[in-house]
Amino acid sequence: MSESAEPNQKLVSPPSPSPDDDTELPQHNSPPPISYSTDPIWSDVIPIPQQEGPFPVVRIAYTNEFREVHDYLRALLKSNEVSERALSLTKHAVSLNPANYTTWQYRRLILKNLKCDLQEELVFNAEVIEKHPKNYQVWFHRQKLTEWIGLPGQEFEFTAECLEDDTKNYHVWQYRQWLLEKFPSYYKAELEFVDSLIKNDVRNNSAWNQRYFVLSKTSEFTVELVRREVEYTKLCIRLSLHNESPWNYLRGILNGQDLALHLEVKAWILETISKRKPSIYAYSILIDICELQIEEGDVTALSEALSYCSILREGMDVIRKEFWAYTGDRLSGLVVSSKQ
Amino acid sequence: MSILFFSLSGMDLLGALDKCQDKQQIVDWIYSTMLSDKKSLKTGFRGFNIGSDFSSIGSPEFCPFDSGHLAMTYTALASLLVLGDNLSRVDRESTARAVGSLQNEDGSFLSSLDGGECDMRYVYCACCICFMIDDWRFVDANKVAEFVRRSVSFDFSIGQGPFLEGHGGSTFCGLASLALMGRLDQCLGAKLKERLKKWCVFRQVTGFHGRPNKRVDTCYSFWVGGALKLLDANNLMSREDLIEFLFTTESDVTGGFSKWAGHMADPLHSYMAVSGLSLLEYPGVKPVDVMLNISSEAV
Repeated sequence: MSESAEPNQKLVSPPSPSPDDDTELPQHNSPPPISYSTDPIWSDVIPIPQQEGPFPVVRIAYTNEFREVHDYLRALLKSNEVSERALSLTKHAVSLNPANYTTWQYRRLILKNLKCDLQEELVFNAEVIEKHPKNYQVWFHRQKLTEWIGLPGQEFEFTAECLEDDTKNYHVWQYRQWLLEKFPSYYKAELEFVDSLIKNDVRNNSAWNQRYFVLSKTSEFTVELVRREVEYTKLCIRLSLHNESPWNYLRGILNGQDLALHLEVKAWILETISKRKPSIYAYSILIDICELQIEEGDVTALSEALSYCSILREGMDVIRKEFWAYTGDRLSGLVVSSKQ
Repeated sequence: MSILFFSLSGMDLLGALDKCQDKQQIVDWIYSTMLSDKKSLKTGFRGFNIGSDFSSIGSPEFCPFDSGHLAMTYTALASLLVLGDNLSRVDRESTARAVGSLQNEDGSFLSSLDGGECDMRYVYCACCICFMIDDWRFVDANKVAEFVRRSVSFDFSIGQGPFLEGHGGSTFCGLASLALMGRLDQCLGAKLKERLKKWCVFRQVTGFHGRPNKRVDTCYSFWVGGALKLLDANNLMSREDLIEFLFTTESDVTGGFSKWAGHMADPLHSYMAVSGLSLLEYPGVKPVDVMLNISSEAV
């Protein structure tokens, strides 16, 4: 190692072959491909150890590889080096700890300054996502790359593939919503995509949320649209009466609509549960509709609501018996206060 | 820093902090992660000392990428309170300015000045920090409340941001943020509060899950249990079912709790189980301050 290197001097290494094999992601716990301390390419860098003080707290048993990589990373962070070797080092570092937001941030600075091929970076990022699909930093990095590229590329296809592995991955859905806002021409095809996911798994709450998101961004919630969605949701409910998601969606799209529409839906629910084993969600929404009736002056709906609360409290939904008792009392209170 | 917080606060809730013999040294270590440039908008605590020399009054900026991070600042300040520190080494005004500088136009917060995600987690961390240092001057509380309100989902839960799926964790973060600002009732109104209560109680299967049709997980005993507490509705869940579930996730090999039965215990789930039990007033566990998620005694 060179002893003459000034720690604060900006170092840019001359063009040289990268010491790392960039096609292989270094594996954690396997022997490092190189030792930075013996590699002449790194001889001018004085590694900086982590300063834990005289009484380290929550000491982590770092591997030698981890320690060495981050000692060198600290040195390059301090000098703010922008170079191919720095890029390579950050790749090694994020493979060992993809949650280190500073490393990803530094990598982004280098990528930008070296004008790197961002498509290649997306490929690398995808490899990390495959190993760590629920990591916040990797998805933020991907979003930044796409922002810089300014085009959707294959990102919709990529997120669709990720959702095949985990249909409810929050990060994927969040990124996909960002993509749609960024490239709104893709909203056209999104409802069909969401529909295919719901058809595949009617219990996919994330897909139901996406449905509401797409409609909110592309349409007005007119009575016609709400009626269409009610019919769609009824079909899904029929497939899976004891599935909370479509019931929540139904209540959500009815929110703010006239009592008359609510009463139509109520009639359908009552008919449905008369023929099949009722679900707690059916009774729950019936109680909500009764509450709306009470609010609009129909106090006769109270006894009906109380009967549903009893059914739930006394057998169908015992785990929530306190809630149903409370709900009955609350609705009774509504009627009392409306009479005053 | 997060692991330290879970450990210390967990020990505190279990009345075992006296087993921690080196409190002052831990306090000094926490302060050593503090960025000590009093005029810098990067003021705050980091997860660990990135490379500066150790100092118990904090260290200067190590490199251009060195800055405080909202989650680390929250857990650092919370840990200091648990250890009985009076935060005298914290430059409250600089910290408050730094938090304010991270607020976006829409009311949400970046995690740190150099960028990062900005979701309900960081709204919560920002509000906790302002509450603990008692300085809200540089935060636009109206915008925070507006961001939370806009993040209420069609199913009357709260997502990580507007239009994102409602989730137990973000529902807690949103509610706690409003509570820390003293604006929960004002922002939500009675009707929405009732709908939120319903969404929360419907997260109970045996234990709690975080979203409809997802698997139950230990940590939601605090996230959803805490949300119910904030809504004055934690008596509406089934205490017995939750306790029974929690103890299925306790490890009889290592101690601690895991997210599911049969999994390895980890600090986060262990802590959330303990604070979840505290909300249930389980014997042997101290009361937790539901807004800050540390013992009421420490606040």
